[in-house]
Amino acid sequence: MECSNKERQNRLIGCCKSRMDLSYRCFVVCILCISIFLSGPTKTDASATWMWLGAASLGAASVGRDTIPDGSLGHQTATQAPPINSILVDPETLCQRFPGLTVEQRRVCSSTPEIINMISEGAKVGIIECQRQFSTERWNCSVIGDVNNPFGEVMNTGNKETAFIYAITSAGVVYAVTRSCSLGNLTECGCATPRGQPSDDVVDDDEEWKWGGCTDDVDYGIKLARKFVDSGDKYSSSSSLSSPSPPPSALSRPLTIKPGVQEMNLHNNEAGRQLIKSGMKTLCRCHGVSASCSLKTCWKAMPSFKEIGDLAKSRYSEGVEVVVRTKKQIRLRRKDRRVRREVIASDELVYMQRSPNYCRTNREIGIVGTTGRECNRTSTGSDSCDLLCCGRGYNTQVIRRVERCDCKFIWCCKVKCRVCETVTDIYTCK
Amino acid sequence: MKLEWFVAFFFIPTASLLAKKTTAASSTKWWSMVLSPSMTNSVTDTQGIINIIDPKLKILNKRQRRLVSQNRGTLAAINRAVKMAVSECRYQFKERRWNCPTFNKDRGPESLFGKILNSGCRETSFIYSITSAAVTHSVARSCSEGTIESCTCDYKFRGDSGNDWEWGGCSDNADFGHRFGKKFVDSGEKGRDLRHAMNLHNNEAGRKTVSSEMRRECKCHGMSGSCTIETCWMRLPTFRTVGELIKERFDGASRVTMRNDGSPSDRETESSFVPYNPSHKQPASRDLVYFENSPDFCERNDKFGTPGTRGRECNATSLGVDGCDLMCCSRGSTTTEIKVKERCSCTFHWCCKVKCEECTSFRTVHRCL
Repeated sequence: MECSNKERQNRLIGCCKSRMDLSYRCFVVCILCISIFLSGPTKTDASATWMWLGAASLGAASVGRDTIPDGSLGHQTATQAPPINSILVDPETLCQRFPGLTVEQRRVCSSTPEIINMISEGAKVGIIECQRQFSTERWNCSVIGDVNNPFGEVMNTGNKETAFIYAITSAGVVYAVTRSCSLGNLTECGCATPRGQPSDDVVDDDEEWKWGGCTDDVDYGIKLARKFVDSGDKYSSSSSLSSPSPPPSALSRPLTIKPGVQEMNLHNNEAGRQLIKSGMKTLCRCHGVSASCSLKTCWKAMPSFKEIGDLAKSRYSEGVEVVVRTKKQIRLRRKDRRVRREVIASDELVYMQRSPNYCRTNREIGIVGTTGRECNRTSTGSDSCDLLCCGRGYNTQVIRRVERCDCKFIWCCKVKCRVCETVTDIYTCK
Repeated sequence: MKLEWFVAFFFIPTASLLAKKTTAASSTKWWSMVLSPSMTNSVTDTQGIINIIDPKLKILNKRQRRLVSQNRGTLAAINRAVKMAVSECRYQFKERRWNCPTFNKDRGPESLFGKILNSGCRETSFIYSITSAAVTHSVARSCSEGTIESCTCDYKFRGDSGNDWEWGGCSDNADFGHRFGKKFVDSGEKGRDLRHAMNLHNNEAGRKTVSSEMRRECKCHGMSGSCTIETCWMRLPTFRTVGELIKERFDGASRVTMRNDGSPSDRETESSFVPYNPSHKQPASRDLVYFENSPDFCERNDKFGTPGTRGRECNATSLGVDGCDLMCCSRGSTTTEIKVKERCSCTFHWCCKVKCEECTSFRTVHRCL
């Protein structure tokens, strides 16, 4: 009667069914960390490319990260911005609360202030999925910077991890915006009317069907995300907007961007959006007399964000190393000479630099290191103590967990539980 | 350091006093035995063991000499044990930055594994554990092979047999191996400081790993393939298994410190130390312990006497410690193609020849800068 590893690792509110009897349940005390960790005044010496990610700190829920049991980082101050009710706040005031927005982003924000919460939600969804996908790897998508720069220097290095963050957060924005369109939370958009035929596997030739329900308006989401997210890169050179509360270091510093970095980021942003578009599914529902299915109503829906994360992860592992060609204009080209002529597909993730090993803490290049990370002694994968701890070995801690178990419902209306104590060893990297 | 060792060399009884300062000096001298090509099996020798091993005897302390002369044949077993330990250590660490280097300088206790023994890091604990395990293993096996006069097969497994099998044959004498190993290996550890507590614990961990991994092995009797009755005996694990188990403990080794709550340290119950970090688990009897962090072994380190990873071969595609990135400590690596000549497409010709062709292949080798 134990939670699966994944549940325990994520510390999500977990409740696993007993294999013996479904009526018994153990309620595992789990922690949902709702905090962004601030690591003090870190320097934010970069372009405003990902400044909008700071939006993730605003809104109802926040980005979570596991506490480190024996980390050199210690427990850091958890801060959380209060949720914003966009309807009650004046658009100008609202938009000013976001540091580091570009001119174009600020324009989008003030014209449709509701959208900013969706974008904030999208960034969050993206970051949480990123942490889920990388929970077992040396780089675990950890939020180490401040609100202006949640990922620290990783955002400036142009490696595979940078590519993944760009893609997943950009996909997150499309997802969040599109979903709130379908839910009717935004006035500018609603459900879409699809064209064409649904695929053969959902509707047979002889079946009667029609488009109906609410098709996710992914095109609107993509358009808006493109306008908002990409403007960070497109307009970053002219982003020195004098706002009442500018993040001091980010905007005052002259921007030094390596050629090709903008192109790479834009490509990965687009790749993230294409992940959602290519993952659209047709769903149908039957009508008519019970189970007769004389008429089908079909609509197109986005995949779940978990599926998008899985897809992004596989694109990450097949990432394409590129080099910059600066003849007439800056263009990216595959580094591998054998396939140099092949066009880079729009859903491939591109990177320019090899990744570091992420083993040891290095504040300068924004690496947290794997010290204190929980590892799996028996696995052979990336979460194994051997690989995760980079040969440094691991420490063993005994965790005594007291929880209610064998809960039974007694008519009427009581739930009686026993108190169970489990002792488990957890292994953390030295 | 050299002088102190020199003094210890001649005044063996006082070595234990010096041991506190000279660290590994007296307790590990017997490891130098690995340098002698082969020891005469003293059972067959009539002149007595003392004469045969006289030139090498200096590497043993008084108690060890007494033990060896009381149990004739053990010297050959110990000699084999040290060799086994060295090769197993090399094998287990071939993909690590510290790859168990050994030195052939024929002098001093530091001759074999080098200065790393003077520190108290994880690697030190592995060396102690594996050598101690090797002695237990080798002596226990020698008992059942009949090469030690004072012990035989272990016949304590009698009586309680299963339905279709019974005890018989010759069980490896792990009890004797454990007892002898404890007396012989631990004899030099007389201090009361953390280093000695650590060495004693790791020695015992090695011995326990051997004796707790004994397995029942059986043989069928009866008509061909019928297996109407089986005879079973207890057999030692292979030394590869022991090495792997100790290596696992090495990865999870606990950093410890002296117990400072004033309670008297008790060597028998091994409670003289506590985990360095109080939230960590108290090391169990088979866990390895250490008290000093290891260096990263990237560069030459004179304090630990390690050569660094320059020139080491690495694996370009691996993410682990054998990968070029980690092995070379981000210094980068060179890639060369080497010609490998191998015998290939061998065929057997009646009777009795094997004819082979010679094939040349190219192998890409990455070496750390």
